[in-house]
Amino acid sequence: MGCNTYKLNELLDRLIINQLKIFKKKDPNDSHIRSLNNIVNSIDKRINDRSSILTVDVIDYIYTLVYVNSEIWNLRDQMINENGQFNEHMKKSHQLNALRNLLKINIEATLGSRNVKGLDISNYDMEDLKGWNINTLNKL
Amino acid sequence: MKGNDDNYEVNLFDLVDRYSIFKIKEIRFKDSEAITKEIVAIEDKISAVLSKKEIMINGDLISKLIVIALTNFEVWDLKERLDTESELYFEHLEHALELNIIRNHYSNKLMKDFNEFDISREKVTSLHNKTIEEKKWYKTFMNSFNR
Repeated sequence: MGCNTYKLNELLDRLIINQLKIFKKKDPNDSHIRSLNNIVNSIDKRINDRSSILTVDVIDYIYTLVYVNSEIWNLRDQMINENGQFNEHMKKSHQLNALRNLLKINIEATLGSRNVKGLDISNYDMEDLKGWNINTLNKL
Repeated sequence: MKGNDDNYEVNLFDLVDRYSIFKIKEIRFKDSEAITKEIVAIEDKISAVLSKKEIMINGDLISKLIVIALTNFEVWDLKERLDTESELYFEHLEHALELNIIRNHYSNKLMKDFNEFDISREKVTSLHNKTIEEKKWYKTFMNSFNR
């Protein structure tokens, strides 16, 4: 796979964010829909070679990645619209982004190329992330 | 027929949906032992069903799972905001119901993918009459992101 193609974990992340934008803004414009369909086609191409079957861990990683992305979106909204807690929201968003990166590595290792070396993901230190003592973390 | 027969089985879709709800609860109600216990129990049930079904993963299936997770999360969020943003009550409520229609539409599809669709379990996919509905954003989404 060349460097001009997205890995599976990146495609999945983009699929989530694109859907999130549509659901938040209630605006399924042609560009968003075209993008969604193209991403799903690309995911198919990555997965077709692997014959992977659905497991509860795969569902878990997908759901958790959805919720982490949604929480980050909400925090960014709060950073823009709420006064007084900017730094707190910014830190939490940064910590959740580390969890997001860890999940993406695991998704790539489970469903994608399985060669996670060299992934363009540098930050996966969640520091003292509080309130996210989720079961999924035990699997990562 | 005995009165204590229990033949109405939980299907895979219901488990996957319930799993999504409990994962939201896990995030929102921090450190709840009872929720973690329920999550582990649901995971065991899902694993048991999947071991018999062997469902192949593809982009379509992943995108439906994302729709279920995202719509459940957004509806949860909007319902919380009904209390805190009362001036937007009807706007948030309608948005939540629209998302629920999307969720139902993809729930029906997932039940078909899991080979467990039954007309008695079919979920409602309309909120307005046809003329109004065709102009709504959620119908556009469902019609165009429909592989």
